This record gives sequence, C-alpha cells and structure tokens, in this order.
Amino acid sequence: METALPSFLARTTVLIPAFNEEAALPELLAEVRAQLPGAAVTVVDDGSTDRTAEVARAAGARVLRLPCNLGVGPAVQAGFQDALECGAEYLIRLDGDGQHPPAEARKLIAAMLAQPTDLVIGTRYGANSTYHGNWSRQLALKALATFLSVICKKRITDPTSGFWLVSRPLLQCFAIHYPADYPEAEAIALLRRQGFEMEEVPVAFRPRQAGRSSIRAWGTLNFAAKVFLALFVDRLRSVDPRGSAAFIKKGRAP
Amino acid sequence: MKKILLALAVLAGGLVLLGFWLADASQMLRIRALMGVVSIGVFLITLLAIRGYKLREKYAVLWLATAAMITLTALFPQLVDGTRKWFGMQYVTSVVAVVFTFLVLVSFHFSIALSALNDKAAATASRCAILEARLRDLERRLAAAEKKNGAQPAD
Repeated sequence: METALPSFLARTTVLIPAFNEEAALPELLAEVRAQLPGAAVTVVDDGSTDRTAEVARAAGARVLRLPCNLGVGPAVQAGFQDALECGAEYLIRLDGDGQHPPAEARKLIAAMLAQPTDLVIGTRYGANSTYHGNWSRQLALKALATFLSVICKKRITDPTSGFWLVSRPLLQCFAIHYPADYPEAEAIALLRRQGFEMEEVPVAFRPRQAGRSSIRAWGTLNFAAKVFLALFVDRLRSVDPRGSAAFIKKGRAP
Repeated sequence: MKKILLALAVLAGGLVLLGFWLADASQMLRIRALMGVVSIGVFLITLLAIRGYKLREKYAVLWLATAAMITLTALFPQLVDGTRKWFGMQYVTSVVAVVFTFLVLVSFHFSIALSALNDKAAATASRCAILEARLRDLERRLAAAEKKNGAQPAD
C-alpha cells in the first residue's frame, strides 16, 4: 500500500464541495496536503457569500467558483466534469466542513488497491462505530439504507455518506447524469442500475468543524420521504446506454 | 408605461359602465360579463408581456389559448352545456371546472419548462466555473512564462 500510494495519488483529484466554509477550509486543505501528498486538490465554491474561494486559492487549491448556489449535486458534478477533463483516474470526495478526515481516505485507497472497484464509500456505521445522530435521523437513515440495499441488491449501511473514492469510468457516468436534489442515495441507486460496482469501508467521521448541516433535525423525516420518492421514480427510468458500465468500460478497453 | 396606464384606465372605465349596464341584468349574464372581462385581461396582459420581451411566444400561446377558452365559455355557454349535463353541475361550476382544469395544465407545463431551465442553468454555471478555472491556470502559466523570458539575459 505505502509503495503504491504515491503513484495512486499522482493520478487522483481530491474534490471538496464547499458552501460558506471559509472557517473550516484552511485547516482541511493543510491536512489534505499532509495526508494525501501529490494529489490535485479542487474546491468547488457553490456560490458562497463569504471568502471560501479566496481562502481555497490562497491554500493552493484549484477553485471552481459557481456563479450562484446550485446545491450539492450540481456542485459535485461540476467537480467530476473538471476532474475528467484534467485526466484524473481517481477522485476522492471530501466534505468542506471537515467531517471527513483526509487521513481516513487512505482506508478507501487501500480498499481500492486491494480490490479494484468503481466506487468505495466511507461508512460511519462500521462494526466499531461510535457515531450517533439523533433518533429521527438514525431511524430515517436505517430505513433508507434498508430500502437502498434491497433495490441495489447490495448491503449499504450509510446511504448519505459523501466520503467517496470514485474511479474514472464512474466519473464518466456521473459527468452525464448526477442527481441534483438528494445526490448520494440517488447516485448509489443510479450507479447500480448502470452496472457499476461499489464497496463500503468503515471510517471515522469527525463532528463538523464549522458551519451547519444542510439537513436540520426537524427536516430529517421530510428529507427521507423525498429521497424515497426520488428513489422510487428512479426505478421507473430506463438505463442510459451512454452512462452504462458496459458502454464506458468497452470504450476504455485496449 | 403611459400606454399601459391608459389601457388600464380605459378598462376600469369600461368595467364601471358595464357595472351600471348590468345592474338589473340576470345573475347568468353578470357571470358571463365577468368571464369576458377576465379573458380580455388575460389577453392584454399576455400581449403586453410578449411585447416587453418578458414572455416567450411559445409559452404565451398557452395563456392566449386560456383566454380564448374563457371567452368561448362566456360567449357561448352552450359549449359547456354538455359538461354541465354530464356532471350535473350548474353553469358557474362548469365554467370554474373547465378554467381550473386548463390552468392546472398550463401550470404543469410551466413546471416542466422551469425544471428544464434549472438543468440548463446548472450546466451553464458548471461550464462557466470550469472555464474560469482553466483561464486562471492559463493566466498563471503565461505570467510565469513571461517572467522566465524576462529574466533571461538579452543577446
């Protein structure tokens, strides 16, 4: 792992979507440089009203500054498209609020190197998990994880985790289609329907370092209801051949 | 602006006159007059919006059709007679049901148009951000190249 890491990181982009995260970014970016040396770092500033873009640039990151707030889905998709155009083979997605410790990304990389797949997700709910949300959040996430596991025919424990390691073929798929409103859970359903593979790896999350979550406690059940609806509607859509794993991987075959 | 105010003044005057004329008219006639006024209002507002480039023709067509529909139901109440008989409704209820259905369809059409526009705006904003990042890269490289060339001793 340690010998393969430098060449892996040289082909990797670290993507950090951020909205008003000027307080958390400097520390996070310094940590990324220390823990994931050699990786390109892109911050997508989703129409922040504070100095997020300036702070990210000052820390040496490439900044995609969206002219208005589009939401996390389109912001992440912009980062995917940019990473593809820059030739990235892998992309590590970290939240701009510092919840995803860059050091933990090494676990995702180790899993990808041990068994190459299309997506590795860092899950908060591993065997030794100490993560506890409030009861409504726990209940909604559990129900969502169960539903998603059934429709994806794959055990999924953390459907809203944004701590991802994405391979290039899946980036190509997501550059065409990426859900806008409830991206993580919908994206997992989408990638399975398009024929891609994924694995989960237990990682430790940190509490938010600054700012506040986009999902408030009172809105958790509302959020879950909307995600269920979105996942149900997704099932009614046909698979887009341009974004299918078979089509994309065939194009990459020597 | 003056023309719009004049049009509104004429419309208000017309409404007042209509009110006097319909003071002793039957309830049915008053409702038909109201429908006529509403349809004229929709026509005028739609035309003014197109004229001021605030509404595209392709979306305006539906509003004009709505106004035409209201006019038809006001001028020829027998057109909705079949509906009234079928559902056992009174004239007013029939008119409201027809207009409501039509407006729901119009609103649905606009929701679809708005969603498509949202996707296009997101795609444009993403492309804009990516191009800005590339432009900055190029500017930085250019500045570095110029600095390097400037530092070289002249022959």
